Amino acid sequence: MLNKSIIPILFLIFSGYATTQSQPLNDMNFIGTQTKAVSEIESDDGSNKIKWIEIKPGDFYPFFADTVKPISIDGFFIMETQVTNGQFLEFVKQNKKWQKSNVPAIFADENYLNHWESDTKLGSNVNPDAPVVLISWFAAKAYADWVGARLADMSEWEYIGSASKDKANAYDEQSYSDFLLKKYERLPKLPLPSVNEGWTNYYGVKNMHGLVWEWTRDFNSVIVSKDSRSKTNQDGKLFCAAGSIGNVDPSNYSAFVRYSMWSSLKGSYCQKNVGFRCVKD
Amino acid sequence: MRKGLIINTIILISFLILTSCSEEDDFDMEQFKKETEQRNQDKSIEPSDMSIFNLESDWENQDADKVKLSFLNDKPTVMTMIYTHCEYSCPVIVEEMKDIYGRLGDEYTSEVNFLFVSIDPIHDRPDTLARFMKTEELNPDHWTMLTGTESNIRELAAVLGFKYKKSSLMDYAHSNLITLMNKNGEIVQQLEGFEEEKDKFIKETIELIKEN
Repeated sequence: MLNKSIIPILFLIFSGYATTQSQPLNDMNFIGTQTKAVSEIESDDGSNKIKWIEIKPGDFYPFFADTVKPISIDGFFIMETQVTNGQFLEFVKQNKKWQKSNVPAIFADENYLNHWESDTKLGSNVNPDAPVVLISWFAAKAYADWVGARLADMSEWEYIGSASKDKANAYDEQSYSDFLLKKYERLPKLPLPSVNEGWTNYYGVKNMHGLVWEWTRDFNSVIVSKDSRSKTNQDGKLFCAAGSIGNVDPSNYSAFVRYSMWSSLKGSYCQKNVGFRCVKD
Repeated sequence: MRKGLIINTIILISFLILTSCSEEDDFDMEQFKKETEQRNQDKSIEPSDMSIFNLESDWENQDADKVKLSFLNDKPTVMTMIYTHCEYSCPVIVEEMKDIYGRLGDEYTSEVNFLFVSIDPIHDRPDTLARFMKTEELNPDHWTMLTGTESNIRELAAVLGFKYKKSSLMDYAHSNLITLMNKNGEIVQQLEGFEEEKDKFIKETIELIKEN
């Protein structure tokens, strides 16, 4: 009799067990679909399509250069637009770990995707074609890994970012500098417009400036002192070789704004005006 | 009355079905118990929400053994990031770490993992790390050095709030940051810059050891 009463209980436990057991299977499926998704992305169907733009190698002088020598950039491919809510939704659907109720707090703060209705639903207030924001650096990195890409280095980002509508490197042009600062003054608020609206630069890349800021792979390489008004001593105390960033180009104010933005971020921060796009080699 | 009878019948039938199932699947039950046990064990090592053990990255230590960060889950850990050929502040950080080690004394040092993670994956290979430990007289029973891929190092740095940047072919600019973690891999305290907070840091370390 005792045995018999245990059996239904075990049965219940077992059915629960079976459900959890099926998770690894789902994961296996997702590895399958993952490869599929990537090829779909490169072909031309579905909402998940990503358009990559080829960037040829070249030299350039980033404003944060430590030497007078230019930095040479290897060629790579960059996403035409920032990653959208729709694209990111596809990613979290297939990667449960990155759904907002599952993501470990060390990888994303409490604001993570909190404009979405639920783990796997955008809701009616979120435009699927708008850039995804409120995502941490770790989440952006995971998405990039998932599509077989990576985040751009700051120097690569600046290389593309220095292109105006009709010139590859326009950072030294006053008109471009004014154009950027005007855009920074009026960054759009939520709900954000679609990634396809806005402007296209020399390379054919859309909204490098003026929609939302973007995570870079090495965002945490921007070293400034806790209080940027205090020069030298404090830096020397907190950072090794910190003096080396003293010689940035102060006339490039728009780059300075971006630099400060990156330096203020921590990897787990989820901000309303920070999204990302990916590059691949 | 009739309702009761029906319910009784349903219960009886389900019992019969369940019993017959269990007779057929005796072997599976055993297997199931085993697997449940296994599952519970796995669950117990699942990292907490704020644990750096959520990083599943692979690292190599000074003996070229492949490890995951969760190898630190037996004791509290005092850790920092450096590169071995640094001539600026890294030697100072190494001295800081040694000072913490020394001030913990014989009573406590074996109860803490001391860890250096290299930020230079090109020049700091396992043999470089082993040589460095010899030169610095770091007892491998208490000290570990790790090297990893650029991407894994960048990710760990992001978790710790450690900033660094290649400043020339050989050198890096970087934070001076020593981190204390409990054995669950959760950051308890960080020592930024030098001196001021060190007494508190050591006190906290001893408290963690006592809790352990």
